[in-house]
Amino acid sequence: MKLKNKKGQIGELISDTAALIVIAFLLLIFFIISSSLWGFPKPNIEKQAIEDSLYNQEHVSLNNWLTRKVEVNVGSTIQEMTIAELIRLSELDHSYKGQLEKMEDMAFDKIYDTYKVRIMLSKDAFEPGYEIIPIGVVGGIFTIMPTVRIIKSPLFYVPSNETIAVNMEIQK
Amino acid sequence: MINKQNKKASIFALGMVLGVIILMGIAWYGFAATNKNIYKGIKIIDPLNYKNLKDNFALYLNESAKLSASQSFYEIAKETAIDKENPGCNIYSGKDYIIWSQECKPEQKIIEEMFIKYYNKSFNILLQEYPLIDTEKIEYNHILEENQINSFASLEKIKTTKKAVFATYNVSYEFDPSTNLDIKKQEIHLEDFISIYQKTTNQIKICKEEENQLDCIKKNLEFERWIFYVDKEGSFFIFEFKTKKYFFFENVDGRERFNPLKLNFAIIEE
Repeated sequence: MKLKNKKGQIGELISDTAALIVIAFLLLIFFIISSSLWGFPKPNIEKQAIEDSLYNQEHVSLNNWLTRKVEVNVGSTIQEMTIAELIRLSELDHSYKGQLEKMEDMAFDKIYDTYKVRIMLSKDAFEPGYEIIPIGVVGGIFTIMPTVRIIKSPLFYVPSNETIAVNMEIQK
Repeated sequence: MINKQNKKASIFALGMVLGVIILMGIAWYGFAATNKNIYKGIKIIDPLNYKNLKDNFALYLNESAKLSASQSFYEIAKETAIDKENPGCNIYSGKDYIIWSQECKPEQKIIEEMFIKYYNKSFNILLQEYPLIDTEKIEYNHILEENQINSFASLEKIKTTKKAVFATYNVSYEFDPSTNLDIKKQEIHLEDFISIYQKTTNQIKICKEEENQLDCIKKNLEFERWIFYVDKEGSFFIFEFKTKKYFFFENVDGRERFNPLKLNFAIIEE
C-alpha cells in the first residue's frame, strides 16, 4: 500500500515537473517571438539615440551648407546667392550644375568623403514600405499595410515651381 | 506518514505560488523599467527631432520669402508700378506700354500695396507645398516696414504620439512660424520706380532743346541697378529698362525663370 502511494507521488511529481518545463518553454518561446516582432526595447532605444545623434550632426551640416552664401557666375556678372538658391537655379538651368557640384565637392569631399548630396523632387523623397499592424487584442492576428516612408537621412526642402528635396546620405 | 506527505505537498504548492509571485514581480519590474527608459528616450530624442523640424521649416520659410519678394518685384515691374484701375492711365498702342504722366505715375503707397498683395499670394502658394507640417491652418499677416517684410503668424502646435510597451505617450510642442526678410539685401528697391519716373521725365525736359534728344538722354541718365534702352516714336519716348541683377520669378505662362526683370513704359513729349 505504502509502495503504491510512493509510486503515485513520484508519478505526480514527474508530471508536475514536466508541465512546469512545458509552461516555462512556452513562456520562453512567447518572449522570443514577441521580442523579435517588436524588438528588444532597451537596446532599441540606445540604437535610436546613437542614430539620432548622428542624424542631428548630419542635419546641422546640411543646414549650414544650404544657407551658405556663394558667388555664382551669372551671364557676365557674379551674383551672390545661397546654396539653396543655386540648387533651385541648377534645377531650372542645368548649365549651373557644374558650379553646384564644385561647391558640393568643396564642402563635403575633404571632410565627409562618405557623404553625397542628393537632389530630387519632393515627391520622390518618399520610399515605399510596409508596416505590420496587430489587429487582434491579445495578439496572433496581424495585417501588412503598405505605407510611404520618408528617407531616414536629413532632408531639406527648397521652394520652387516643383518643391525640391535635398538629402545628404552615406555613400555605400 | 500521511501528515508528512501533506506537509511536502503544501510546501511544494507554497513554493509554486511564491515562484509565480516572484516571476510576476520580475516581469512587472521589467516592464516598468523598460517604460521608464522609453520615456527617457522620448524626452531626449524628441526635442532633437523637434529642433530639426524647426530648422527645416525655417529654411523653407526663408527661401519662400526671398522667392515671393522677387516674384512680387517682377509683378510690379510688369504692371509698370501703377494702379491698373487708375482712369488717368493710357496705353501707347504701338508697343502696348503704359504711358507714365503726372496723372499716371508710380506712387510709394500703391507700390507697397502691390508688393504686399503679390508677396502674400506667392508666399501662400509656396507654403502649401511644404510637406512636413500642415501649413493650411497657419495664417500670415505681412507688414512692410522700411526695408523689412515681416510675416507674423500665431504659434503653431505640433503633436506627436509615441508608442511604448503597454503605453502611449503624447508629446506636444509649440513654435513661432513668423519670419522676416530684408528686401534691400535681395536688391529689391521699391523706390527705384519713382526714381526712374522722376529722372526720365526730368531728363526729357533738360534735353528738349538738344539737337539729338536721344543721345542727350542716353548720355545723362544712369541708374545703379538698372540698364536701359530709349527710343523715340513720334512724340513718344519709349523706355525699356532691365535690372542688372537676375531674379527668380514665374512668368505669365507659369514657367519659372531666372532673368533680369523688365520695366517698359512710354513718356509723351510735352
